Amino acid sequence: MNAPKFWITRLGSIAIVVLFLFLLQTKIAPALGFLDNRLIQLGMLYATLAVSLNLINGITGQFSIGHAAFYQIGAYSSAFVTIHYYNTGTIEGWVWVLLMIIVGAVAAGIAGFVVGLPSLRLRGDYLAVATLGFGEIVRIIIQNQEKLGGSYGLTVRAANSPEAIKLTQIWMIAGLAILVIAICRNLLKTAHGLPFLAVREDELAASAMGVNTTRTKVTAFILGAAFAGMAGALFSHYEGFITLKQFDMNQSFLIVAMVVIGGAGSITGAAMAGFFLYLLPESLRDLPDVSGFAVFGFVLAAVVALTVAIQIRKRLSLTQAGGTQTAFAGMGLIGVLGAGYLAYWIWSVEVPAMTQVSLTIMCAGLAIAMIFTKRRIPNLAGFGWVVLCAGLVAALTIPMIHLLQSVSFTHAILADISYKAGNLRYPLFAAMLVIVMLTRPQGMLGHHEFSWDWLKRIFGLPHKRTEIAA
Amino acid sequence: MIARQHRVALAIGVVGVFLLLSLLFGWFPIMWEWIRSRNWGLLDQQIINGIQLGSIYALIALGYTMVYGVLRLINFAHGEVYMVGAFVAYYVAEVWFEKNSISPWLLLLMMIVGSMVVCSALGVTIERLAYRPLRSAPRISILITAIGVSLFLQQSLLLVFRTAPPPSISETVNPFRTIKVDLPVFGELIFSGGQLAMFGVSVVLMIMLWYVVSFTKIGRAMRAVSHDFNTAALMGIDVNRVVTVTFIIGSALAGAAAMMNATALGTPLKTDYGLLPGVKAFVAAVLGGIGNIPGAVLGGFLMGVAELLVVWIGQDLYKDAVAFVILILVLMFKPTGLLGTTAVEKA
Repeated sequence: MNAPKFWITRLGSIAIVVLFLFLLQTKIAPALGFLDNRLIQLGMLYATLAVSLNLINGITGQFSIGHAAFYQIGAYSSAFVTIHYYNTGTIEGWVWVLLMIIVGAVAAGIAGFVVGLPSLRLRGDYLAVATLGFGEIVRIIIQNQEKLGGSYGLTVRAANSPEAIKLTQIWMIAGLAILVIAICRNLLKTAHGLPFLAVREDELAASAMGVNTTRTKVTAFILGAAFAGMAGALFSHYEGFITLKQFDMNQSFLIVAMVVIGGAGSITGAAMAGFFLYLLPESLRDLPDVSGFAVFGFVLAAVVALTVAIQIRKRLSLTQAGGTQTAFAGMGLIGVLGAGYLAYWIWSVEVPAMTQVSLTIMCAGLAIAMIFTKRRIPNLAGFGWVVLCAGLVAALTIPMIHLLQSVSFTHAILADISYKAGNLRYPLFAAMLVIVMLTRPQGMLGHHEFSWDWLKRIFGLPHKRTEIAA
Repeated sequence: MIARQHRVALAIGVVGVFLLLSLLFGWFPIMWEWIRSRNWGLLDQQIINGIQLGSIYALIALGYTMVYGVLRLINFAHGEVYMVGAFVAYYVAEVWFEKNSISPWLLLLMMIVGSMVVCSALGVTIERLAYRPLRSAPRISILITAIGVSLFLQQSLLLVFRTAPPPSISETVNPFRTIKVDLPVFGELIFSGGQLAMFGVSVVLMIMLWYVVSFTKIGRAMRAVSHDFNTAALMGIDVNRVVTVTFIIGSALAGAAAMMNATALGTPLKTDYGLLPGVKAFVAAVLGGIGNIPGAVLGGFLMGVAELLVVWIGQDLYKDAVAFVILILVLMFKPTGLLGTTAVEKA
């Protein structure tokens, strides 16, 4: 690309980002309610955290599971500086927060350097455990420092007033998320990023090719930690009050889960997973309480549905291995016709709408799965299986709930139980993590990134074929 | 002109002498004062307590180390198996103790057997559902799955078990009395009867494990699989059966440890009850050399003693941090552990 065009596109995109941030701050955010604002801001912070961990875990391949420690160091160090040196009225609030971002980044970056050092000797699961240990040490040390509030938590306030201050504005959080994503993306697009990928793919080969693996790994840790520290500084000045609970081991696991589910190595995946995996479970909070029958009926239905789907798939693929092309075609045709007839029959008889919809979804999934398994298009066939499973679960849930209610033993146990929907977040998260690992170990997006060509390809428009590094 | 290496040696010598002198005259009196001001009378008591605590860590660490030896997998869900064991013991005690008609010894026996059986079933289920499908996958995905299983058990059992307020096994279940011994050299030592029993049962279980691993057919199969998974499979060993038995034994040991610890100490049970003991036992396994069964026992006892030494020094706020410090030091300076021979993964 020639130089003028490069600068025009670059300045143009910066202008678009600034315009977006301006609109977000002045038009979009005031139009949303307090809760929506909060969810979106925290979602963007999680996206930042996931992208920063992705730099360490996904791009450089150093499996770290103590990321909340860097977040915590950023939050506490910036809060500490604010409490001791910030006087209201002397300096503009937003300028101070930008300074605090730098403080958080430096503090967390130093910690990242310290953690990066063991990564020179340790690999794989041992590095993971060491980073976990580091995270816990940080938490315990902060817990025992009275100046940092200990287990009571720390109120972020100015030196000259006792009240909590909340200086962070939405444009800073959005700006940081965009900045971190842009830095990671540009890093991978240029030659500076290749050593990171090389270390991930094969450390020995990379060092033989002249990559300074030590420097690469430590740089990845410092960068990732500094980004998390920036997010931490914004977080502490957003909340106005920070406690240890907000940075515990579960938080680290949550961030790891986001990176892994999104697809370790994919910036797009990490950012989207960070944002949506925070938002979706949080939106459960508004739902009414769920009865024990519903929860266990759903679990039972899911188990039965998965078993059935796996059995069908196994039979189908076994036949595929041994049979002939005509047999598949016949089976696919019969499957589609049968599914269509079943769907027609469901809609013609008097059953609850829920059953009709779910059975239709199930039939559609079965048809898609059969067609594309037969035609050996694995992605679409996989999509069909997911749809089939979802339909099966939906179809089975209500009968299972009835079953649990009618059996006196289970009725006695479950009758008094109800759960707050918000409490189901972490189990859902963990179940999702395990299921993703079992079915698609590379995560949702794998190593793929968002690109316009990718979108065009999906919609069948003319596109450039891009080679994707595996 | 002095040669370069001589100049370096000279510089090191000068700095060294200076440091030594400052150590002698500056730090030595402070250290001496510190040493003198410790409560030496409590040291032997703390070491005894540490060994008793260490027996629990050793039992849990055996589960980690056996699974690692066979599958090369860090079973992060092991701490949660331990937690479930404690809850099972609690429920057994609650259901049967209120009827008040059985002898306390029978109740204790039922609690420990119940914990061991349920934990074995749970361990085997986890292996079957979560680890077996991934056996040929990259090790990092199995690790993530293990973390996921651990998180899932911790969070979903929070919904199933009664946790508000956190229940604890009633002290009345524990029929053991505290014993005080007055010894000529060591002074008065206090042995909690429950903890002594805990130590005794742990040692018996370890001896049983040693017998099983050393002298039975399945033990030989386990050693073979641990030595070389693929070759063992080629030699006609039913690898899946060996893995299942490993999980049964490891989880049963964790269940026994959980029941004994929860009964002897009466700690309130929450679903993160297994988190710290699990991590500490893992550190113990690494310290002794992961994959090495005597190493896990040694590491467990050392961890228990180290933890209570930190308490003895007066830094009891940091007693949970010492495990992680030991972990990082071992991983950095002697990754094979004290007794281990196989090097930590290099590729």
